[in-house]
Amino acid sequence: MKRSKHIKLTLLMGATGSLAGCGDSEESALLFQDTMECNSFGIEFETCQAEYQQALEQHLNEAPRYATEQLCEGDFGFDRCESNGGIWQPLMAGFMIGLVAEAVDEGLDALKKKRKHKRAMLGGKYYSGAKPLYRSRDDFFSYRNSNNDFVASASSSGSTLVKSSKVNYKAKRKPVTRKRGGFGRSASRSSWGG
Amino acid sequence: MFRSSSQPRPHWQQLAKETGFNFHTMHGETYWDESVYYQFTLQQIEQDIEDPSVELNQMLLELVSKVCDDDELMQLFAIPEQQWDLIRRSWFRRDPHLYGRFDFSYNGNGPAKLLEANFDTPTSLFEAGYFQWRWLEDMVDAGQLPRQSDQFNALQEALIKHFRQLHRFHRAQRLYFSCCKDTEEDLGTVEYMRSCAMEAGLKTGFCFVEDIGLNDANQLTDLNNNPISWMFKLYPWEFMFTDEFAPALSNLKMQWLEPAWKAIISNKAILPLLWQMYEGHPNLLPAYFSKDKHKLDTAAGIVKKPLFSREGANIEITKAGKTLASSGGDYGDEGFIYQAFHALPNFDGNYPLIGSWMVKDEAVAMSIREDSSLITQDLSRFIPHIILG
Repeated sequence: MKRSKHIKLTLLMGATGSLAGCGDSEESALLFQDTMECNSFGIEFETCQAEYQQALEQHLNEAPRYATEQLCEGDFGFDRCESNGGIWQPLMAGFMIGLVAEAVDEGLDALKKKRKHKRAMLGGKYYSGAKPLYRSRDDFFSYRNSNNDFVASASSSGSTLVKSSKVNYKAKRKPVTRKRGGFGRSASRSSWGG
Repeated sequence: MFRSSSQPRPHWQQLAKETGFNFHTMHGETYWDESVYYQFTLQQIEQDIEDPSVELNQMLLELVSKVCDDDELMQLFAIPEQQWDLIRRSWFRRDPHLYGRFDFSYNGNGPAKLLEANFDTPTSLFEAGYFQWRWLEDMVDAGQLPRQSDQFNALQEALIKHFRQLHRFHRAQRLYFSCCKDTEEDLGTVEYMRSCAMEAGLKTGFCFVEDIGLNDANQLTDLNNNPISWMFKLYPWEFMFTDEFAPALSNLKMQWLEPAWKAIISNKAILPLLWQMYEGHPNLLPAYFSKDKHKLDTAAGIVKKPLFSREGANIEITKAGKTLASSGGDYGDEGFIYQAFHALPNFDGNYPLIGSWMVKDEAVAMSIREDSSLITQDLSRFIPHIILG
């Protein structure tokens, strides 16, 4: 036989809006300003501290960097920056513990029933790590991640639904795009297939 | 090789709609035409189309190798000199390539003659690999065609297989797909290609050519400023070479599909060079650059083609001083080549052009475009085919 045996394929073409990208599912995450807030939510203090510490380590790696304090304050506000080995970075305004919804629900149930099992909800397969949060000068009442993506309102401490991509983002420093539209001008017609 | 008329499937327009094949009619003209089909024997397909395609592909790779080694040959392609390194590096690394299509003139007897090679931005991919295949399945199921009817069409299978292989070497990378805005045909082709890539397990993304950005770290970016490290572009290399971002191309640390060395194969300068290297080859037509065009027989007819022309633009056919056919377009500033005229076969006033599809270095499928003119253009009808006997 000279032809494909079967051509089962999920065609993108028929699907409208396929260009918008894959659907972004929602996940539960725990958002806290500091270890105190975490502790008063019902999580053991040591657990809160460990999570905070993990977020802090990430923070030092992935927080935006500035050459001067002034530049940093321009984005994050007066006295909201710290020096770190010669460069300036915003202060970590909070931290986020990413979990899938079931884990949070299970954990919260366990919390209500027996306060001993608190730690269980922050471990295992559902747990996706602690991440730093920031509050910028121009959007002070929102938590943003280090990619400058909106995560949630800063008033939503505790368990909150967050877009999965905002929790499981890859902390990569993205250089700023300088220019767009540098391709496509040579196009004198709209189609060049052949 | 026969041309037979046939009853269109009653639900074909519905099926086209469901599969997103919205360009089956373009500018009010029928593009997908299943009121006819062509029939071939297995021997015709294997001996006259498949085997020569594999051989011609090998000849072309040999030619690319030669051109990359020789400034004087490189000069003939009208490619800006600043871009030669990009092309050469991509060839010396043997950057993987994906697909291409040879266009043949073939009447069922004797050798198929190579008219040109579309190896950078071939379209009509979905029609060939998917819709044509569905047509045969439906026709056989409905009893309109005998059960043993076959088709030279493993295009989709081959694409997915090749994407799987590419995936092994680019595990973590996202393959971006790109085409220009406002063209349903190109978008359809790219989306189909992307569907195949996803089927093979690749992470994919999409960004229109005009939306691509360039960041401070010399990376191309999508609309969310994410760096692009791997891209399939349905946009000609020769355009990229003269676009505003052209100077940045050689500093980009990224992989392209098709790779830059395909800029050589998609250029019409290969036709006279192939004739130089393999003069008299049964599948080649005599072809020359303008300084040697007197070697062609004007009485037998000459076809003048721009180096960069696509979709049959700016082609002129003359015979004994008379113009037989010509087409408009915006190409030609880059220079022309001259090829001996070899008329497409005439089936009841229709001129079919055979497209032979390559995936990597394998010949995997065939498609037919038909026009009532001697020059096949982007609106020429797509006709399905079968193999029987």
